Amino acid sequence: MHFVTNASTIASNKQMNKMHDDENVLKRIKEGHIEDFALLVNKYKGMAYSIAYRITDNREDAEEVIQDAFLKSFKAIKSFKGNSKFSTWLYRIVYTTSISRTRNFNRIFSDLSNAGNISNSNEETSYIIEKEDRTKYLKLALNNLKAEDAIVISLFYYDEKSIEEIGEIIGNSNNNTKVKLFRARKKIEEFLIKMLKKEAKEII
Amino acid sequence: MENQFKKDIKSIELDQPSAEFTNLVMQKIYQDKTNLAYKPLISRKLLFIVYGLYISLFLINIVFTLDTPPIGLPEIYFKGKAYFANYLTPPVWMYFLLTIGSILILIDSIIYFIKQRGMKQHSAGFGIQS
Repeated sequence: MHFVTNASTIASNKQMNKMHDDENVLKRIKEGHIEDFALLVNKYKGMAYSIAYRITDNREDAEEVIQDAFLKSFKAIKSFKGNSKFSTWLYRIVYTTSISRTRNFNRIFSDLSNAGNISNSNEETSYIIEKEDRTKYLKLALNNLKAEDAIVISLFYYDEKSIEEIGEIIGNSNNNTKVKLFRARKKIEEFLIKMLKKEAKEII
Repeated sequence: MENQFKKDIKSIELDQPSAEFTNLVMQKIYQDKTNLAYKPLISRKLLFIVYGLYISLFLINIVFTLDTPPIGLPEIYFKGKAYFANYLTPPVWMYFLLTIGSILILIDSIIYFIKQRGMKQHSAGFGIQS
């Protein structure tokens, strides 16, 4: 007798394990082990900072925002019922706190795409794109998106959040979120094609 | 290609907050918690006022039990003594209530300081001066 487990089951098991880890940590915090909150801070500060930085565009502001967000989440932890993942709830707090702090609303909701201004580096890119370059160009492409689109891409691909979870974080319906994700991918494609011409296919 | 795209996105290093970030957050949490760790049942300011009056009256009462004034003019002393006896001597039941109150406040304060101490010991792990 042997058991076959496919990749998606392994992935969903990993997600389940993550949730159980967070559940256990949250349970301990609610029981009074405040020091365990540091585990959650360490685990989620990266993505939280990324979200805040994309919106505020300033390191100090972003750090202040996520500090506030973590404090708010700690104070409200007893009322957190676990209907969604802790990370989804936290990122929602980060997102709304960032929006309320930012002075530049254009950055979040307007299309900042300036791909046309980037010099045509066709001569430099007539080689097979190495992994480091792919990362570099993708990062450029992400930075060229409006903040909300970059956040959607990061949450979907980097943090492996579902459409529902992303919608919950940014306060959009599932359909709107799907459309945002699709359009963001499209914009990345266009940016990369403009930059890299035929080599763009290696990335997208 | 989607898998490759996902791998490439995941290989982008996330910007990180400062190295001390977690400690800063935990410090703030412990500072807040220490301030709110245990709210005394009775306001400390109110206690100062009530007990201040209580102790003052008690001391004045003791002074006025003397037959001769310890300091000051005898006339003023005896007038004061008479006034105090007529109008300011607290009734016995008030002394009784204040004594019970003192015991409860003492217990309240002990619990408050024990909890605060507990919070400060926890916070020492995050570099907070106790």
